[in-house]
Amino acid sequence: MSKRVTFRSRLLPWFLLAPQLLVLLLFFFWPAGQAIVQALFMVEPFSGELQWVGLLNFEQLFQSSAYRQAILVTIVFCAATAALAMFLGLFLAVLVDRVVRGRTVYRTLAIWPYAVAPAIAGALFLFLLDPAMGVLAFALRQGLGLAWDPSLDATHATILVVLAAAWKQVAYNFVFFLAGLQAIPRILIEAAALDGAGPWQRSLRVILPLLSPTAFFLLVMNLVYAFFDTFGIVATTTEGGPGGATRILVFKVWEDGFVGLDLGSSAAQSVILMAIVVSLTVLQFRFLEKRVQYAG
Amino acid sequence: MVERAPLLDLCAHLLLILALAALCLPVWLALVAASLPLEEAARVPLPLLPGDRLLENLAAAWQRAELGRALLNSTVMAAGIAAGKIALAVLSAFALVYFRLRLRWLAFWGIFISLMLPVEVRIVPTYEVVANVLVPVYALAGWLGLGPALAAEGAGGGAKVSLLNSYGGLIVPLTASATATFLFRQVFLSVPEELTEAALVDGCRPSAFLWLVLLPLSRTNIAALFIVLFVWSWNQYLWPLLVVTDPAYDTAVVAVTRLMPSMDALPRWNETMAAALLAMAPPVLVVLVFQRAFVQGLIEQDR
Amino acid sequence: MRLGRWLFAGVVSGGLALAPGATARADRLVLDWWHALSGELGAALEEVARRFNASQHRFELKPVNKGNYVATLNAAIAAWRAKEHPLVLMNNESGVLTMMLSGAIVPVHDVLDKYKVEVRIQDYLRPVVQTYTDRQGRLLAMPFNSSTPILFYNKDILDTAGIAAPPKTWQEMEEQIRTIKAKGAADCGYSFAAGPWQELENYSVWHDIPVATRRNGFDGLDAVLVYNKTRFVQHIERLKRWVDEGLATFGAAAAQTWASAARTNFVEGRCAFWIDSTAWHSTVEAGAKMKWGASFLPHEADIRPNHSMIGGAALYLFKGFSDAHYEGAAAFFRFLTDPRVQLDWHKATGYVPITVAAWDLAKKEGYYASHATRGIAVEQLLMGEERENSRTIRLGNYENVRKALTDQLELVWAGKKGVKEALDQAVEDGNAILRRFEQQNKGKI
Repeated sequence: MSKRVTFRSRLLPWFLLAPQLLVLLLFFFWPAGQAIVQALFMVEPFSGELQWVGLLNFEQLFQSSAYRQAILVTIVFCAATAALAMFLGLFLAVLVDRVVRGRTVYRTLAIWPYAVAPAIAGALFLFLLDPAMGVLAFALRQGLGLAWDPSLDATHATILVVLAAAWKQVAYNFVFFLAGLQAIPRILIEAAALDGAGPWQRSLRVILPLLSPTAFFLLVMNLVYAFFDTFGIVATTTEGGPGGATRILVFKVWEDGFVGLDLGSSAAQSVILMAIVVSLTVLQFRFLEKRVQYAG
Repeated sequence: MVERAPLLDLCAHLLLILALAALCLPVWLALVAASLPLEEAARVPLPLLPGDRLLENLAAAWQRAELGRALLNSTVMAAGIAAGKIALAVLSAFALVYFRLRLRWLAFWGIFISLMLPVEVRIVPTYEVVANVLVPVYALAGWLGLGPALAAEGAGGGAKVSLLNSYGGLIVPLTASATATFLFRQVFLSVPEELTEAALVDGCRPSAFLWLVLLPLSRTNIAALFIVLFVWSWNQYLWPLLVVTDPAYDTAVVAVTRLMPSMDALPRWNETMAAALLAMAPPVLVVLVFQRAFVQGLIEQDR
Repeated sequence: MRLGRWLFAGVVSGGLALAPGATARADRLVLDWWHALSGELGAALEEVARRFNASQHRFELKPVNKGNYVATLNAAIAAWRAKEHPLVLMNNESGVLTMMLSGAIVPVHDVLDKYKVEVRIQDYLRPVVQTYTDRQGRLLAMPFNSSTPILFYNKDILDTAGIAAPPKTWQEMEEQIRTIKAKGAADCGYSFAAGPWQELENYSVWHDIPVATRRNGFDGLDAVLVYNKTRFVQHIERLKRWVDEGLATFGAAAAQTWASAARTNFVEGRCAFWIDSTAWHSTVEAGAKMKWGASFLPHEADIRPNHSMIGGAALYLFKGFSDAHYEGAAAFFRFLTDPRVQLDWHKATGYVPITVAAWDLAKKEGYYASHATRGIAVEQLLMGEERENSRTIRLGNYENVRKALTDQLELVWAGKKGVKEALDQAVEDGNAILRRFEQQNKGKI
């Protein structure tokens, strides 16, 4: 869609588009194309020499128990992070939406963690949950008698990275849920109240359905976040351990490419990731289309 | 409020205070650790109240992680990416909205598809391009059979433009932004047609129209977006980790991770946490000070 | 404009004239050296470079820290592709094959031969040199920082338990830990991180047990991991039993972040025994509040141990420089082998000296009278003779092979997998990595 009234020039618009398109070509499309090509080769790290292997890189990936584990780990990690972050975001938003006094203070306190880098969030949670040092680890040991040890226990390590990842993302969900809640016409809620619906019923029958587009949008955003932006958390805490229990796909791509120097396999993993983002984006786009229709 | 329910309100306040206290706990404890001497910071359990060594530890962290330089690098990178993204997006959106373009769908989809290519999925080849921006040129020359001499020169290590270890490498590859482009497209589309008509009648040049009409109109959008993008850019980790191998270009986030407990030495958590506080302070302050704009930017970005 | 330029030139040359050192320096040929040591080790490295620069006036060695080994190697690879590589690259012992097959290096022996720096292998600590020699016994890289694991023990705990001397064998160690526990001298017996270097590689080399076929890969890329069929399996079973019985405390995983736990547990006096690199001496000296000692690695009672293997790094020379550069490198390597330089490096860092002459000098000067435990690693490397499985471990993409083992061992300590099952899986995963490397590099050696 463009304006009915437009400027007349053939070259100028392309000139305006050129910087963005150039950056995209050089740093997005070319590398993406290269990743697809390299996925079919073995690559010598120093010379960049290519050796055709066809689909071998993919075959070996799916045969490797480590990669299959990474897929599973990623699914669990993304689902848990998205669920926790969304639940807490909604929880805070509902509460802040309800109170009158102190709303600004509460809102401020809920938003700022968004500004903390995932890598630093990782450092903070490592300090909290370090088996030897951490305050929370100590509380868990003393209070619950739980032998907390994320360096050894897969579940504990997963909890550690999920907590750090969700902590940072709660703010994002909070902002959107609060905006969503405040956009609900008061009159609808009042009408429901007049019909005798209590706060609980109103939440269930009126508010939640009206929030569902926001929730769906957030689900996609949270999955994308958990999938891609959490590299820093894993890198600063568990480094994929113990026993690969927190080795998410993005971490493995980096590890195999830059620690293992297996560029062919890393490229093949990139292609698989690309397929996953494409499907997530399609999902998001279909939703966006719908939302545009809602908006009329 | 629909009805008065004092008890419910009280509960809400209590729950909020509890939840937000929990949310703030990690940073509070970082602050505590950062304010204690090493022996006390290493004590189990950590005291819950800060000590008096905050300044000393901040100074030590500042020195060990070379945070002065790192914070400057982060500022340049974050401001550069945010400004770059906005500039590129405004120009693209202007072109898409205010001109009749042949092949507009191509530009539009090109930008849209970039959403599907976060750096993580093209990590090694992007690194290669940044190491020598001319790589694609050589390769294309080779394929097309245009100038085999040029291709040979590429293979033999001829001319090169490397962005590794430079602000350019930190900034430029991240300056494309589909979401920002679409945001400005929406903003421009909502600008009344009458303005354009009037401008055309007055013989206004496109650049003047962009500069004098559209930019002032989208000022608040730009400010809001800048804040969101600044915070996002500041917090990048994987990309700076890749393109920087010279500590002189380390960003603050990377510098902090260098102070994490490691193989090299016994952990010094007090200094690590002090460094973490310093590295997260700028974006957190930006969010707190420009809260309204930040929230607006966050929500708008996804329209 | 022109006047300004003249003024500028005048000021600069005036400044140079006032600083004679600066003009001398300007004539020197700069030799770039990318290294991976930071902190105190990095400072010791820079001191070596400073002394080399002060020892002659033709070359200026310029060390630059590029982060840890992984970051340094990646920086070098990118730089090689962009033809902006340094002359000297420091890379660790697990990367020998990668460097050897890279096509990017000049073997150090070529340079040493050309500039008449004599290297007689018998003058060096054999396990150090053999890590970096080719099949003809010629040096590919100059050994720089080398260490080997030793047994550290908490003397206070041993005294309390009435134990006079540290254990010589694993069997003795078990008895001692039982005594310690029984007497309540400590809760924690053996503090271990289960790093592949400590528990697999050194255990195997020490006992002349293969990690892989083809002399641990030295003879060819087609080597196959076999550690799931050796005495190593029983070693891990023993450690697992110790963990279950509370005799050993696992304190780390593959992750760097946790790796301090096993060390911290020992240094802070909680555990009786700990096995790790001799290079930790300064950390233990600085951090330990208890009386402690160190000894040789324990061995199996029925096997006479041979010698241990090293970890650390060596200096590689990249292709693409002028003769003068390589001459400078040769001069630096000659300087490095000087017994005094080696001894000072040994003292400053805890790494072992690489020549026998430096070791003799240290003894002559009575260094070990005041630092008895620092000589243990050297003795342990000088013991025994060359055997089938003690030469080195030379496997492709070896960091990933190690990771495959650590991943599985973590499952063992957590009780999620049986020892044999885990090691079989680790060997399967590791062999898949080796086969990829073999295919990628076929025809190169």
